[in-house]
Amino acid sequence: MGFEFHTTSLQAAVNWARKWSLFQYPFVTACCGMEFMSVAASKYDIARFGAEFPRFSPRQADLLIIVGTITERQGPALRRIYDQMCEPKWVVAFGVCASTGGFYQNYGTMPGADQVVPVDVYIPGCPPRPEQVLDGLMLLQDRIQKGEGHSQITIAAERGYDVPIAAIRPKELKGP
Amino acid sequence: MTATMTSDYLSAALMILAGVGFALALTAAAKYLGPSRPSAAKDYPYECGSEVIGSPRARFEVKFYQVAIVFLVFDIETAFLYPWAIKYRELSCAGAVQGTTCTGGVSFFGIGEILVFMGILIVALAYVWRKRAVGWE
Repeated sequence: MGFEFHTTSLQAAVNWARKWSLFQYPFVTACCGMEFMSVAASKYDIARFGAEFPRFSPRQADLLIIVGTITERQGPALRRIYDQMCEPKWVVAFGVCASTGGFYQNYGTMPGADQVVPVDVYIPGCPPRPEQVLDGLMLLQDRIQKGEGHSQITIAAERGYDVPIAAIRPKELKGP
Repeated sequence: MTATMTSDYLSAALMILAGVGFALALTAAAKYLGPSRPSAAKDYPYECGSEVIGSPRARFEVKFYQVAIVFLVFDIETAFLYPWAIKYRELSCAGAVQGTTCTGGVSFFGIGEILVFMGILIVALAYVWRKRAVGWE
C-alpha cells in the first residue's frame, strides 16, 4: 500500500515535470506555420507553458507538432520521425489539415495525420488562432498529468498496469 | 588572509559541487524515471524522415580547406580592426583626450601601427594569390 502510494505520487511528480518541459519537434509543412510562429513569438509566448524550445532532431524532442497538410508521400517520413522520438512522446495535430485533411478533396492528401501517428490533441481551425493553440497545449498538459497520452498508455500497458483506455497504435511501417 | 582565502575557495568548491551534483542528479533521474524502449527506427540515422542515401563519410575537395584557412586570416584582420577603430581617436592624439577634444598634438602612432599590420596581411594575401589559393579552379 505504502509502495503503491509512493509510485503514484512519484508518477504524478514525473508527469508534472513532463508537462511543463515539452521539447517540441515542429513538423511544419504548410501555411499554419505562420500561426505556429505567432504562438512561439513574444506576444502569445508559448514559453509560458515550458514548450518554447523547438528541437530539430527527434532524438531531443518529445512533442511532435504536425503543422499543416500531410500528403500521402510525407506519411512514411512523418512516421519515421515519430518512431525516432524519445519516449514518452505526444503528438498535436495543428489545424484542420493535420487533423482531417481539411478542405483538400484529392487523392494526394492524407485524411488526417492520425493515419500514420497516434494524435493526442487535435486543434481545429484553418489556421487556428494562437489562443486555440494554447488551449490545445493546455488540454495536452492535462492529458500528460493524467497519463493519458497514447505513448504513456502504451508504456503503462507494457509494464503490466491496468489501463482504462486502449492506446491507438497505427500499423507498423515496413523497414526501419 | 589565509582564513579569507580558505572561505573563498570553499564557496567556489561548493558551487562546483552543486553544479556537478545537479547535472549528475538530472542524468540519473532521466535514466531511472524515463522509459527506455530501444527500436530499429531509433537507431536509424535521422535524415528528416527520408531514407538514407550513400555514406556520410564522403570526401570533400581540398579547396574548401583553402578557403577556410584564407577566410580565417581575413576574419581575424576584421576582428582586430574593430577595437583599433574604437581607440583611433586616443591613438591619434599625443596628449590626453577630454571628451572628444584632443589636448595635445597629432600622433601618427595609430595610423602607423595599423598600416604595419595591414602591410603584413597584404604580404600574406600576395603569397596566397601567387600560390593560386584564392581562385576556385
